[in-house]
Amino acid sequence: MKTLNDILLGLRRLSNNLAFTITSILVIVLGLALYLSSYSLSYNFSKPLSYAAGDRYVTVSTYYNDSEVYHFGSNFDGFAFNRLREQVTSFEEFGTYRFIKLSISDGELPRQYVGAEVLPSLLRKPGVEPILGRMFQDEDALPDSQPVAIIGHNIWQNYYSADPDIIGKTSRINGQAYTVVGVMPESFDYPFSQHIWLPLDTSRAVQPEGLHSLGVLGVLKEGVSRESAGAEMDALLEQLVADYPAYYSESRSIVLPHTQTFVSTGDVGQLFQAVTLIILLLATLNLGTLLFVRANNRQQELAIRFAIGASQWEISRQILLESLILCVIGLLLSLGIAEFALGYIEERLRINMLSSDFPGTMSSWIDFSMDARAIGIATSLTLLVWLASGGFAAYKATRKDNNSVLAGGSKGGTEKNRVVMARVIVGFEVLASTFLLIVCCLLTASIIAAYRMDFGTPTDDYYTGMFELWDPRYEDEGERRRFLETLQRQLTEQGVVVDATVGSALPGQGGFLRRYNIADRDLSQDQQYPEQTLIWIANNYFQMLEVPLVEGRYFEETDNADSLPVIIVNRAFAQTHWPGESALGKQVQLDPDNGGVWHTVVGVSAHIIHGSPLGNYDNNPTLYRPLGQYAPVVLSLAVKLNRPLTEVEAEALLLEAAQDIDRDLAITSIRPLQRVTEMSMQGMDMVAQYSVAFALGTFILAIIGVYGNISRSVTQRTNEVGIRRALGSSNRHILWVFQREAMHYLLWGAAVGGMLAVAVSGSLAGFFNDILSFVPTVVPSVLLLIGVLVTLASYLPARRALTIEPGEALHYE
Amino acid sequence: MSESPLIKLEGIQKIFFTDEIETWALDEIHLEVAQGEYLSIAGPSGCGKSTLLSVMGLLNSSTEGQYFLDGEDVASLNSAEQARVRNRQIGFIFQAFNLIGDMTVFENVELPLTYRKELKRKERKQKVQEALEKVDMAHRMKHFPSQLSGGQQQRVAIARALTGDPKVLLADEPTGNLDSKNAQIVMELLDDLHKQGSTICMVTHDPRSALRAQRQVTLFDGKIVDDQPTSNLRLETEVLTSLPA
Repeated sequence: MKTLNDILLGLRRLSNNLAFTITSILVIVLGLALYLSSYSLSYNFSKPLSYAAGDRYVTVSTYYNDSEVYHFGSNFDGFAFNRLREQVTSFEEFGTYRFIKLSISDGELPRQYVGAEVLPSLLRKPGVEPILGRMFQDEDALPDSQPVAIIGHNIWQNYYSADPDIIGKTSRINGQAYTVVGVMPESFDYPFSQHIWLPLDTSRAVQPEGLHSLGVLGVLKEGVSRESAGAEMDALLEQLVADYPAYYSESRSIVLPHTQTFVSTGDVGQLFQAVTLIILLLATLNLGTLLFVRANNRQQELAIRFAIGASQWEISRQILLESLILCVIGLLLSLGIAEFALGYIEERLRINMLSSDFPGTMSSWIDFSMDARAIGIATSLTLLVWLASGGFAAYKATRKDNNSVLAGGSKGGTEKNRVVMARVIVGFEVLASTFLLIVCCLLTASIIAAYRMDFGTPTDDYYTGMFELWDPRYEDEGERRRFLETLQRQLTEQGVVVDATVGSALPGQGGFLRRYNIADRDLSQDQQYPEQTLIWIANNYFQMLEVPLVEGRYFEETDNADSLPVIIVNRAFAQTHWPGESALGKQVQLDPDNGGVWHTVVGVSAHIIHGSPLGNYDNNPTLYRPLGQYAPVVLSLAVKLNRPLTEVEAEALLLEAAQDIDRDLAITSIRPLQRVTEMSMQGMDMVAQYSVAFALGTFILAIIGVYGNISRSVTQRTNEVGIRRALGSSNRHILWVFQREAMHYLLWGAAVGGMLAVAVSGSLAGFFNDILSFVPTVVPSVLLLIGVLVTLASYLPARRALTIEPGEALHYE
Repeated sequence: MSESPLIKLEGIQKIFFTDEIETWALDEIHLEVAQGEYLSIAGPSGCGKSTLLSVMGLLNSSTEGQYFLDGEDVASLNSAEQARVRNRQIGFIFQAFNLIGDMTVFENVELPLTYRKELKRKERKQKVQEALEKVDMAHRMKHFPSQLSGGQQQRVAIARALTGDPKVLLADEPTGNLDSKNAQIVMELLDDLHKQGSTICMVTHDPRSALRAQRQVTLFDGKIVDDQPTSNLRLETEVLTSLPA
């Protein structure tokens, strides 16, 4: 009953002081909601799979020792996989798969889906049974067996209209007949978010370099750690390199939880977690200060309670109860806001995935809804915040000299410990606020600049699509080239199309990395040749995309399979290798490890950003080869329109043009070039929004914390102002004393917080390559902002203290 | 008093306004204090003793009246000029010591001198040293106030008041926060300062402390109701104590 009364009293008091209540709750919500959403983002990317032993599913990748360049997933060939599978002992299942876009052409229009060729045993491993038909058997993967496929629930429902007799029917997949043997349940998204599965046969890879682009997915034996499995893999890889030095270069393994393989918040996620932790710490500090100030304001009441017999615990309890009420309200609001923010992010991610180059649903483990663990962590953090802030306020309140308070004054003077404590708190506030604001502003500025970056080509009036020529009819490279020529011709015959071009990557799309060497020089380091992006392009690629030549010529009809192998390099490549001289006529060897062909440079192009502008792509040296000399299987198409089209019109235009040539061919990812360049940001818009949210949150906390603490510490020294005036100090001198102290905080904040922020931001320069270029703008701006805050926070209360007559100031409490 | 007084108050009034209530803290105060005089201001609580001392110290402004310090009308000076007067001509000793907690003893005593640009660091150091030696606190100059006893803190406060060689020392209940032993030490210190020529105005409600002064002014409801040498008071006290019970 007494506690209930205390709670009611606390509620009444909080409602009577709405400014304090709202400020305190805002502080809690800012700290908790930002931390919770950041934590949930990181945690949800690493949830274990829901299958038996789901936490033991791991992806094995490799990375080169020297370059530290990660090659996630698809980086084994069939021969290496078979050998590793025979030798490895850490895994109870060691399987492989390969992503593949599969075009089903049973209906009027072909549809393309993301599928996987997968080792039958790997597909069986989760123990999920098809809802119709059967699972793959090992025999299904044998070379002479009948081609079979298992389809996902989505295809069965939408493409085959939930045909109950689908099992045993033949489906045209990539132009080949496959028998559908199974339909998987809706929730089955394995290895990722595939909708169709074909059996993979690795036994045919009896020599190195056969059956490329395999991802390795395994299930660790019980009790085996990822580290020890990695150590075993390293040893096996070392032996592989020793046995086949001509084919494999020195590399080390990386064993990651399967759910972190493709979608991971990575370094940025870790940075955000650290940033939100600091924000939470700031929030706790601010709340503690607010509660302490409030307890101080009630000192007379608390002293009276003390005088009439309340114990120190009873006095503390009142303060703790009030802070608990604030924390609980803050927690509930934080959970709601974090849930809303996570829902927004999930929706954005879902939309991004649907419109990605591998369109599909999100994997089931990417689930941002707040679970019991997140709520538990939120509750624990709230308790910590409550104990730290409420406990601090209660402790300080009960340490007051109540006799002195009741007698109407203290013993005078400012206690050194109190001053030191205030300085430490203010110093930390300024330092942390400076650090956080600089980091968040640098991130935001870097991402905004990337969005505004010139990709090297106009993007208006261009539409793009992607297609893959896996059909056996295109096995002959000459057939692929003929198809491309026909497609370009077919498209330009449409009235709305000004021109059409094809390439293995368009602006904003990443190309494949290829090792190279140049004539008269050996570029290899530690037996490794450098690698750069190589893109295969149609002859009119540069002209149509309005990319000028720096020197030389474009590719021409005469650059064909029978002529001299030629290459165009971009300006960055030319300047890297032939600074101050013409690149024309120079020789570039591709695939030098295997004695690859030498190519003559015939042109130097201006720069196009291929891939994300966030990495080093904006300055990446790039190589271009003509489709006339080789036509790859996976290609992108771009058309220039003489008038804008809707997405539906553009889709119809491209699909019909392709259909006229090949009814089995699906053109996917049809979208404006502008959208392609935007997508190259890889969800960085969300990072930018998060950075802005962090920056705003930090700024609000800085206003409350830095301003509040400095002005409080100055107000606390009103008594000192009286002493100084009594001793003859002028008003100007007193103002200067406080301003000078404020400047000390600013200098410390700038020196330590600023340098720390620049160092941390610099560590992200590999990802946000130009982040440090914003330091000259962002750092002074943030310092100016904090400077104004600090100056006002010391000036205004000092000015106020000076309006009090020195005699009154001396007795100021 | 043939010489012009060091302090001359003429018709000083101090009225505090709280909401619609006027409180007359000081009412028509006429007072002169000669150079080298030791004056005690007595009276019951709330009679205006401390307010009078604040006005004399230019810590509070008067509502009406004139205040001459060493012949200068200091009440009409602007705040910067008043600050200069406080710094050079007045030394304060407070009941609550009012030392600054995060400054050492040395820094506290040096503080008034730092407002005088003409003094070099070496001179300031010497003056601080001398002031601290006068109050026998030179050995604690590196300590912080919280490391000192109440009596020691008050001695430091006296050193701070002395260090600028003020014309007058204003002491507001200087022994109010001290035990009797420390109070005795502080009062003896003030006696010594007086003997060395200092002018002292001291607010106290302790009769024994008041009798150490040469002259006592008694206030009641903001008015001076009595002003006489303490020798008379000592005589009265002796007469009263000699009467049979």
